[in-house]
Amino acid sequence: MTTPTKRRALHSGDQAKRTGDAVPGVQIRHLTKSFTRADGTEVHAVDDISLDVEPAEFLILLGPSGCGKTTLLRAISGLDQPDSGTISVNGTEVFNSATNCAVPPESRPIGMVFQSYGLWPHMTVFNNIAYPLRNHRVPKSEIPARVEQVADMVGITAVLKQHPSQLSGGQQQRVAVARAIVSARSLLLLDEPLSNVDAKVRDQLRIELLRMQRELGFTAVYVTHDQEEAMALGTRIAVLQEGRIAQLAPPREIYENPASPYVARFVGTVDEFDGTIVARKRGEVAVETASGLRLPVATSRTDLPDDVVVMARPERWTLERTETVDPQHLSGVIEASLFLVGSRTEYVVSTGEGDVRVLASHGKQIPQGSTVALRCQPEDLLIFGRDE
Amino acid sequence: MSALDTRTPATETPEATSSRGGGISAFLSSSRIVSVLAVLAVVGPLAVMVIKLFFPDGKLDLSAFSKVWAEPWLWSMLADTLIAVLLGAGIALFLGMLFAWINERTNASLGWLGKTLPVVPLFMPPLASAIGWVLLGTPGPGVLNTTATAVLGWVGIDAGQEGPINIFSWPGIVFLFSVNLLPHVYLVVSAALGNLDPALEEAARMNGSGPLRTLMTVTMPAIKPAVISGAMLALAAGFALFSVPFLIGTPAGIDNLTARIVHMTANVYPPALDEAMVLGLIVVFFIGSSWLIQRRANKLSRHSTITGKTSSPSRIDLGLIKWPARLVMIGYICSAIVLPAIALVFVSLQSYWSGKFDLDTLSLDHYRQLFAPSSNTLAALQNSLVLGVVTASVALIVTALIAYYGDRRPASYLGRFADGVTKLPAALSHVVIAVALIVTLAGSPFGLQGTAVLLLLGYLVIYLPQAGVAASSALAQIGPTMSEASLMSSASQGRTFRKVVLPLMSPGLISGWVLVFVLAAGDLTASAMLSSPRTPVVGFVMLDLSTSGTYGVVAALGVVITLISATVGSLALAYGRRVSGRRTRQSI
Repeated sequence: MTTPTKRRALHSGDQAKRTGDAVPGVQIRHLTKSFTRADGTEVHAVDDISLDVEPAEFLILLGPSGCGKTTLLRAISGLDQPDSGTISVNGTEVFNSATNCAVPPESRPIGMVFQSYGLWPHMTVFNNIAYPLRNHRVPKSEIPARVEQVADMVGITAVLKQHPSQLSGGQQQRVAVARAIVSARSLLLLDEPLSNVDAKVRDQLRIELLRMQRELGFTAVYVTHDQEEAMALGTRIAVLQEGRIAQLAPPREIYENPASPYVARFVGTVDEFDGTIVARKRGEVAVETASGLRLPVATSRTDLPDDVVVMARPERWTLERTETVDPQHLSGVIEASLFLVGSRTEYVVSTGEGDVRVLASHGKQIPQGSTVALRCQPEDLLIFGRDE
Repeated sequence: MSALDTRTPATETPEATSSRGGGISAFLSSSRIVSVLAVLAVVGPLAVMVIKLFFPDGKLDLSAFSKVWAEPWLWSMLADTLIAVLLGAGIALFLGMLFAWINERTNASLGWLGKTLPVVPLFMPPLASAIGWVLLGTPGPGVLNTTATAVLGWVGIDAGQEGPINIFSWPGIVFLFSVNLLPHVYLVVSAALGNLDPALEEAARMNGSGPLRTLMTVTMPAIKPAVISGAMLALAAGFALFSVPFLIGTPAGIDNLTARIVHMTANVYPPALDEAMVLGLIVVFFIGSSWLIQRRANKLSRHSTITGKTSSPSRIDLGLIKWPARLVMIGYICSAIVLPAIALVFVSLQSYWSGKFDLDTLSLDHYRQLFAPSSNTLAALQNSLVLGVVTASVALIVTALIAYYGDRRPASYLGRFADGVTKLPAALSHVVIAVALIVTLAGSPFGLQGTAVLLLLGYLVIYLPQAGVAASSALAQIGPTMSEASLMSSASQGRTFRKVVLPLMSPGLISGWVLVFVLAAGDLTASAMLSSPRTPVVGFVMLDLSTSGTYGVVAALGVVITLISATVGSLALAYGRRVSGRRTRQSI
């Protein structure tokens, strides 16, 4: 890996300092895009989204397929045109439905990495990477040095003379990344770039991507449906649901304080209990389930309806072997246990509330068939209205 | 802050087009112009023809229809046409399906030879093979007859003066129609069988169905849409076929719609254009209704989901009938190309055609005559080659541009429309297009009758669909990411097209080029109607010479044009294999 000083030399032509005022990397206002399905129904792929991407931030667009994340990314790139709204990149408007402004993709200051790599099979790796530079009319003499420097950065110097079809999936994606960053654009769009490479390479590339982003300081907008990837990479995560942003927050916040049951279910796993609020105190409510289980839940919300759903993260439970079964507290029988990498064990506990998953990180192995009591701190439980 | 973050605003703002993005409007506007011109070239003459047919002097006048109605030959001609086309297409459908099934599903498959079956007729222009059959099957001196008489005489049977075979007969006509129409069926059906998931058939076999029962209850229903479109393609091609009805039908006294139209425009003075247009309308009606039937049938039938091939199908062992099955297919290949080719070579090398191959009279006179300086055969050969090259190049560039323009985002409706329109001539007969061009451009104010320009236009319009299909499928294999990655690398649409799309399309475009070149250089129907002694082309000269009975030179010309087609074709195939070997499909 090269040092930051070397990197500076790479872009030595661009030494002018940006004027200090904080122009957001990308500014999106009231963006809408709908499709008409074959059966005539209209789908709002992007439904009135407003979003600021800060400079040098690694923003993740996360959601299941069909949530509009790729549509949003392609709208920023200019490859697809939204129906309405505005998009600015580096403070310059690239799309505005009101003024009929739509800067074509090739004129936007954006680099992009595609899910299927998008490497041109008729060009060598060198020519693939040099292509954006030639489009920018970089002097011929500078091209080899700049190509070699990014190739060095992503670790593909050895294959520059080969054709893309001769490379492994991981190498191909490295080339795609090199091509996207070679012309030193300040905004990089990544469309599920790691979903086609195998797990080991994916972990490695994830770390390298993050390091490159920190070193080069570009703004990244990264689409994925993989929550683990989102957690690992994101400065912030925008969880998308049916064309809208369900929550926009840093990863930890998303996990610990999800804004809705949808976000809680999509990011991480949850055990769920339907119940009714039977007592309200300041900062805490008591929830009773149909089978008579009572759960104290800490919450600052005062607007909760009586019908609620309580959610728990599997790792928040503590298990304790017990003989006596108290209907007021959650207990059950261990149905199955799965050893996971990292000396953790996942238990499936059959309770009066259905199966509950518990992730125990240490402690003694509890044999299958044991009766256990499950405990959880009131502040570790999440609570939402049933209809949220 | 890192270096990347401190870029000069000038290179970062979208307005600053220091990148090669300046060609956007130039590329888009030239795409637009090309699209509009292509639409005009296809639709314009047809529209003019329809207007001139119904409103010859500016007001509604149906006298052309009553003239045709009063023709004494009308009904017998239509009956003759229908009998030849329906019988020929029927036999072609049966044999085509049989060959496809044998090649895709049984151990009698001919492998490589089977795969080339559909392209076999391409190597030989339609007129060359028809003339080949005239030379083979003429009673008396026909090569087959002299051979048969000799063989039969040797075993003591007197076959008479004429010999056993008369190609100028109903069986002869129907036989040649089926030989010509079979590839249309085979191509579609074998592709469908190849794409059909063998698991469907294997499931039937595992559930106790025998091979025949599986074929009838599982395979056939699954490929029904392909069978129907194969049948309709064969019908459409049958109504458009000109070489066989003209060369074989006319001497046999069997009338034909297409041959009539050509006769009325090219051999009658003054040309009976009004009647030709009415007859052309009948052709459009026949072909159009077969397309409509096909669309309806495809809509009604429930398509089985055709997935990518998961495994190669287990082949059915035909046992004792394996070799008979192969012999039938080999017999077809012989009839379509080997025998006519032998006859052409044979006759072209004899100083005069006596029916016997005589080493003493072996001579290259016909070839000398053919290549004699300032002969019209040499001029025709040169014209055809030049027109073939120009037609193929223009057609492929135009259709590649239109395909990319119509496919690009945001969608261009003009591009999509032009893409559809360029495929329209496939649904029309060559004669109809040629009549429309004559009606529109031959007379004043254009006065293009018999010029190379009119021929070029005719070839272009007629063969645009073949080029368009090649361009569309070449583009479809590339996938949108290739051009999107180029745009995101700041290349303009025009540069993206030149540097990324066109090179990646090139294998498909080259095979399309060869197809169009071979078809245009060996074209017969349009040439017969649009050419003139001023600008002779191969099809025109061959027709001319064969009507005057100069078979030696005709045969030599047939041999030469077949050799050129076959050479260009095999070179392109070899190049295509080399290119696709260099890149793997998956990475595109």
